[in-house]
Amino acid sequence: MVQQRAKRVRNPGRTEPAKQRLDAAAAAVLAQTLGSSAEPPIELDASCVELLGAQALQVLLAARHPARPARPFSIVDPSDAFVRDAALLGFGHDLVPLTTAAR
Amino acid sequence: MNRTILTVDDSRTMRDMLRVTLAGAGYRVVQAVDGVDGLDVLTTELPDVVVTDINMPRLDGFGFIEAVRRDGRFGGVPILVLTTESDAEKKARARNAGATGWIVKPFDPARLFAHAFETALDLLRSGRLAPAAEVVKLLLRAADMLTDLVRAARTGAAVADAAGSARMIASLDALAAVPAPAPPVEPVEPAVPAFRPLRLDLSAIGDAEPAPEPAPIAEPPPAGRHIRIVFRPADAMYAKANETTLLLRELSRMGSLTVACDTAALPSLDALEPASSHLAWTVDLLTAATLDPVREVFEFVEGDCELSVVELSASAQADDAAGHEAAAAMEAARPAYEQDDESAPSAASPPPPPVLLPVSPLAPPPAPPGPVAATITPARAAEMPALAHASIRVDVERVDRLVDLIGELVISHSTLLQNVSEAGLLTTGVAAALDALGHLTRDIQDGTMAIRAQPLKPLFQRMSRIVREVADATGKQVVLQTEGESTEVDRTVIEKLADPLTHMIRNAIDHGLEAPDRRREAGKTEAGVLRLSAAHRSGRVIIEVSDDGAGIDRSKVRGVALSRGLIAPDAQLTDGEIDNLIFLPGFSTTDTVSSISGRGVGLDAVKRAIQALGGRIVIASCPGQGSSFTLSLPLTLALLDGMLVTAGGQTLVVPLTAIIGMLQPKQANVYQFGSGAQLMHESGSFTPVIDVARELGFADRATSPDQGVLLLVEAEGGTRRALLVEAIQDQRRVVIKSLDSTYGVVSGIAAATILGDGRIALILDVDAIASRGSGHPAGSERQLAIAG
Repeated sequence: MVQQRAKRVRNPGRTEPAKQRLDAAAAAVLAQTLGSSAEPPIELDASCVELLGAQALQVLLAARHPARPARPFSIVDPSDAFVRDAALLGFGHDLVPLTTAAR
Repeated sequence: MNRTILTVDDSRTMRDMLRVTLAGAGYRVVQAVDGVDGLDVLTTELPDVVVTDINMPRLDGFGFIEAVRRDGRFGGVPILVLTTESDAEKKARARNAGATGWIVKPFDPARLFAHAFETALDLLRSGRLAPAAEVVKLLLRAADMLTDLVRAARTGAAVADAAGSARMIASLDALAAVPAPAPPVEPVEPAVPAFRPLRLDLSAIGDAEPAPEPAPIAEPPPAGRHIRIVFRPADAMYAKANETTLLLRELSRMGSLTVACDTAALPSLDALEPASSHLAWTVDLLTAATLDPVREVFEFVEGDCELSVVELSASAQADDAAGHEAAAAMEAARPAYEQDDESAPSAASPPPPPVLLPVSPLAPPPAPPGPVAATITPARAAEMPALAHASIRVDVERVDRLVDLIGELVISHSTLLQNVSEAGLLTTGVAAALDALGHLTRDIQDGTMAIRAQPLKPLFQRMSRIVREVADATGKQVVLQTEGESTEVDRTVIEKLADPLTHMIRNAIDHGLEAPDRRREAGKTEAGVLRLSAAHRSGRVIIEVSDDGAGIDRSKVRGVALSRGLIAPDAQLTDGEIDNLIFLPGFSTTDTVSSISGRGVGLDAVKRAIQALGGRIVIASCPGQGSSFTLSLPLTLALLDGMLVTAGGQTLVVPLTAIIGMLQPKQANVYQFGSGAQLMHESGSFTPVIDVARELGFADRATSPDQGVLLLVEAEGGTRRALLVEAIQDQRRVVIKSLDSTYGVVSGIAAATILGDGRIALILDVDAIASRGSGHPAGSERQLAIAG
């Protein structure tokens, strides 16, 4: 679970430290956290992330679906591992695609 | 201040478990690896409680406790013994030494084991432990044991080999204790060694300043292959705990990557099932490696994803200027690979990044957008998963009912055929039509059977574990090769095949393969090869277990057979006949009894099990080159090849696999004993005769042997009997109808079938009839004993 007690509050909303391993289990938790568009924007603290899994990425991307965006979020303090894994999966640290897939 | 606990245990796993448990409960934990270390720690620490193991190197728990108690400072400190032992004598010894309490390690054995296993795997993943052959072997064994432990935990059964698993934990701990093989760079974080090729400078991330342009390829690759990987994971891949990120990390070690993610299929978050897979990746890899190592990265997920790995350009001189031009041209011609620069506004309009694609000037620039195979259009991507999972799940009962109904269809067909021919209507046209109907019926039958069929792969996989275990126990090196594991067999057959196959594999390794030094002397490789193959041949499945060992020692087999009185001293036996002697009950050539063989459960048990399945077993052996055991099995247990016979006016079916011969006896060759028991004398031996009609209660009077036919059958344990029946009608394949659910078990009758004319014929249980024949008060063997 995302650790609630270690919550840090920042200006735009809340900051939640993401889990160290953003794997399939973490993806389900993330999906819950980001599920409701009615909630206030949230900051995800990615400073301790050791692995960004494809399923967690999927949740993050889906939350920014152009047609139906979910709860707004931003990623703060991404760890080196987060940045590297995001790049490996084809995205920048802010989840903007580095290249566009061949169509 | 936190209370301090000193834990003394030589097992790293135990120490970790204790530390986590106690620290979680708010204690400060000080650790020592054995008694000596513990005393050392006590010179500086004054713990509130000491927890110690008993069995430790250098100084054991008893000695440690005594030494602590001798030291006046720790008079009032409780010392708890935490151990796997529960021996009363040891408890008393610990008490005398000064222990306060005794706790038997209450940890869940599976969890303890898993922890030790995971620690070793972690070391392996992080490169701190080299995957040497013995390490791999140990880990495979550990995986097997873990499977057992998990199964035991699930069923609540006791762990069969607790001592073995404790030993394995010790071995795994020993692995973990091995120092790292001098890491090439400064200690890096585990699992992510040297990630050089894709160096993105993202130090400015999070600040408002524009990030440096994320150049997809940071440095020119050493030599030039441009490999494109198109990869779309299926849900199943994630369900098996595979991770795309780790695969891409692996790829990034081989060269530089340009990755593009296809998010076209991604739904919005409220429609997203987090466990499912909606993304696909196109990865361009510039590498010196060939296609094979790239494919190997995906080896474990191959069946669970759509994957295409193609080479886009041939090798080139990296420093060739023309190559750069070609690269630039190629990049320009590939609109798909535009740089998206939202993250770097300052670089929004400049030309494409300086991507160095070493393309040979001789090679024509690939046409955009590259080979068709590498491109996933959204439309194709959408239909692909549907194709990949074109299967449905059906209740086994429904299939069984269908199989039953098809059986009825077969019967109706024979009824029709019989009626038509009895009515004299069997013209050429009718016969041809009925023939076609028969073919169709048979095809439908085969098709239905195929629904129930399952591949042999899971069974073969189980065998690889047996091979490891037996190889370990015998100290031999074995390489298992399997072939045809996709061969499909009815599931009822697969279930019953496991035991005999296990036995044959044990036998092949224990008796067939030689020890490594013997193999070396014989000029063979030290590791013996055991082949397990399966194939379909003319409506049956053929399974072959062969080894490249010493082959059957025929003189030894003959000697053993002679010493046990199984053959006459002057018997002239062919090689094949000698080989077949090993199937005789109680036959064993091993001089010593081991856990693997020589327990009196010989190959006769295998032969019996195979025969019960309606199968046959054949040996071929060549001295010095190995032996092979070939099983021929029916594809299903729903059908049976049988001999239709008449006994007491009834039609009966005798399974063909039990029959070894038939003859029409002369009255003179059948001897009467006592009240109706008979013996047949044929080529020097006597065989008890069983009058089937009388045995089953169809007739009161004995059938006269010269008016009947004798079927020579071989029953359980190799006993031979001659079944006396009135006549032989036909040989045909019949559909088995179980009687058990309606009538319970009827002794002497295995099942029933329906004949073409609608009558029911009982299928004879040869084993039961044979044993009843001998155990009967009027049974011939007993009579013989009295007579002799």
